Amino acid sequence: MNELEHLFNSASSLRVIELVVALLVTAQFTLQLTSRKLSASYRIAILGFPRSGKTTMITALFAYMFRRGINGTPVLPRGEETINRINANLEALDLSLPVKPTTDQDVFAYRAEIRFKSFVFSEHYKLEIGDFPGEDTVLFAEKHGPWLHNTGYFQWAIGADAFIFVIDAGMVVLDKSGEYAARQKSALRAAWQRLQDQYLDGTGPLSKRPLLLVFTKADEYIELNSASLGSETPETPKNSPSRRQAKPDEVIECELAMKSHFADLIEYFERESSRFETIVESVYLKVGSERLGIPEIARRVMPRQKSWLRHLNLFR
Amino acid sequence: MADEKPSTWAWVVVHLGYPLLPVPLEGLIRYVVSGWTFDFDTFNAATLAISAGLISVFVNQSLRTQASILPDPEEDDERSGTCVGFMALGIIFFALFAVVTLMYALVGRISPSPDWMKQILQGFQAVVFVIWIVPIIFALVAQRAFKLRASII
Repeated sequence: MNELEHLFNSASSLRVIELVVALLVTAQFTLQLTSRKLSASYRIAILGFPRSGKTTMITALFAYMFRRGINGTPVLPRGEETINRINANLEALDLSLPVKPTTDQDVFAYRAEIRFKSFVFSEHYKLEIGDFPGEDTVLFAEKHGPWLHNTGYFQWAIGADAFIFVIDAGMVVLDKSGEYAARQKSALRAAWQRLQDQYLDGTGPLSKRPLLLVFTKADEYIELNSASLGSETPETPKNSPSRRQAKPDEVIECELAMKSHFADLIEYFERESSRFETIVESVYLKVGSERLGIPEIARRVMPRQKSWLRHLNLFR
Repeated sequence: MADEKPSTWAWVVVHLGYPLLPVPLEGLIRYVVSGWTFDFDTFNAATLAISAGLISVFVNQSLRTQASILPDPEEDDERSGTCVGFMALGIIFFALFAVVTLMYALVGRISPSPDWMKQILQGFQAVVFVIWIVPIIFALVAQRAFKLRASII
């Protein structure tokens, strides 16, 4: 107490207070200036087998964000390549043409800028969604060895902020032997365990990251399932599916069927992650004016605007 | 193996914690020696300046050595600009260190030292005590922007 009294009574105490005020003003100014120039990186890793609909989902996600933003905040594509690819893929989607699968040659990160504005703190995010070929996911989940650590996909995945695991719902119906579902379960469980083992910031932060299990191509599931119920032989769906409104009961049926097929995997993820969700998605089924599942994916996986108190914690 | 994994926490410890460590240690020693009292000389502006300069150089090196996983010309430009920013901060703080140390030496050497000399010293001290926060906040923002990580071996 004597020291404090001494501090406040001495002639230098005024200078100390002045310095503290100047320090706080400088800190606030620096934070505002640097955050505006350097957006925080936010990476979304998508894991799914080849041709499970990853690129199509990314395209639909961007189409949704361009129109709606994130909580009303605009999403601005970043870089010429992102703009070109997104628009070329969107054109294919609009024409109900399949989006070209990603190969080793066109590994790429879709990039966008999100700027949440507020009175006290503005937040800028640099969103990156890595579009890797499905073969990389197979390697990540099913193979191992020191070489894997040097692959771009591995390095991307172990530093990501959110994870989307993709399963092709249509293939689940097509494969009557159950081999596809069993392989998916085993591979995605192994991928998560590998992430837990190698995640750069440890398992604690990983369990708090958004984790989605997305069942893509719900339209194919519905089409194939109704064909098999009508005693017709299920066939591979046609290449140019048509867009239509989703009926609530068929979507619920698809969701329940997927949850039943993957019950043990879902229970496992629910225990491992506090932000786990399952979503049924289709770019050809619409709910109102939106593609099925896309608004939910955007809501669950995209960065959120933090309250001003959470800004004091610089680490996410 | 698990302890060698690069992490954000380790990056902060290595690039901010270690270079800043002399400042609180020196302050603690002076606080104890001066009979548990704080005054304007408890923390040394020269030590703070060299610590801030080292932080700037360390972060600059971290930015230079950590490459992007997927190529992005815009990010490369941002990275280069940030590197230049930290290099400039490093130069400023090393210069401040030199000036403050010189002024300390001159004030200690000349007895009685003139008031104008003490005032200049106090002016530079005040500058260091106010702007040392700049590289620290800049470093934390850069860490978030480029996902900088390090491992403690």
